[in-house]
Amino acid sequence: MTTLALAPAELKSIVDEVWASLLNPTPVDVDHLELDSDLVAGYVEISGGWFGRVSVETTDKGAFALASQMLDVPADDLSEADLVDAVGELANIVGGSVKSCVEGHSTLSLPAVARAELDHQLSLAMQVVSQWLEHPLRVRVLSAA
Amino acid sequence: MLAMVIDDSRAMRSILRRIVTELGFECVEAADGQDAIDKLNAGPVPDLALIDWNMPVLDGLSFVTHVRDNREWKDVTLMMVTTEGEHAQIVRALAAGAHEYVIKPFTADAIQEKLQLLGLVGVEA
Repeated sequence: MTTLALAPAELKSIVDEVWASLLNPTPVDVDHLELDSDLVAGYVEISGGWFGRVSVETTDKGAFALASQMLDVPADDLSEADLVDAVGELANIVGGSVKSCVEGHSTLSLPAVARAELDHQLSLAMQVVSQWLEHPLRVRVLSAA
Repeated sequence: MLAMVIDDSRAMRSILRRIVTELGFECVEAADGQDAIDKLNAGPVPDLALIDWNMPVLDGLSFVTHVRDNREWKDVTLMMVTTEGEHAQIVRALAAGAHEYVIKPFTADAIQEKLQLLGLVGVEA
């Protein structure tokens, strides 16, 4: 059984690097985040000796704003497919960095996007919460119990 | 100079397109490895291909192998741009014929530096 060699501070560093490379302005840290309604969650799953999920979560408006910046297209001109693409790619990039912290060989799934709280079969290992413009952003690493 | 950006994410293609266009390339996009092969067959053949690894239909490593098996495409410079950062996988991609490897997340400066190393972009004074 391999393990995830990732401390919360390292996840924070990974997330900061992704935000810095893709988002302007850079998201700011917050202590607490309300993200109960209009949830959009992009996620990838890591499998191998360790199984877990990495998700990038925001609101519907936040997801459109992210897609707008990544695609350089006004939010009003974006489709649901664009939103899925952008949030999924963010999860893919963060998940790829988390995967590099798994000892031994592991594989990363193609990204997927859900518009509801993901199932609770996995337990929360760590998370990073921040705010980008007026939008909440949450990155969670969930691990098989 | 013509660059082909091969990534299943439209958002990532858009980001890479902006970077290489800023560096003076014309740019075409492909949504997966098979789409890229179809576009290579149709022409024109690009000088540079920026290739994601994990894609549906045909992945980036298979694309690199396919390109290197075709002498008509021997002059295409192949650069992986991917979340796949496992050392063994990087070795596999380079052994298959990729010239350079960039791990996501990246900066525009990192792409520019790699292209300078490959001689595809001039070094600033």
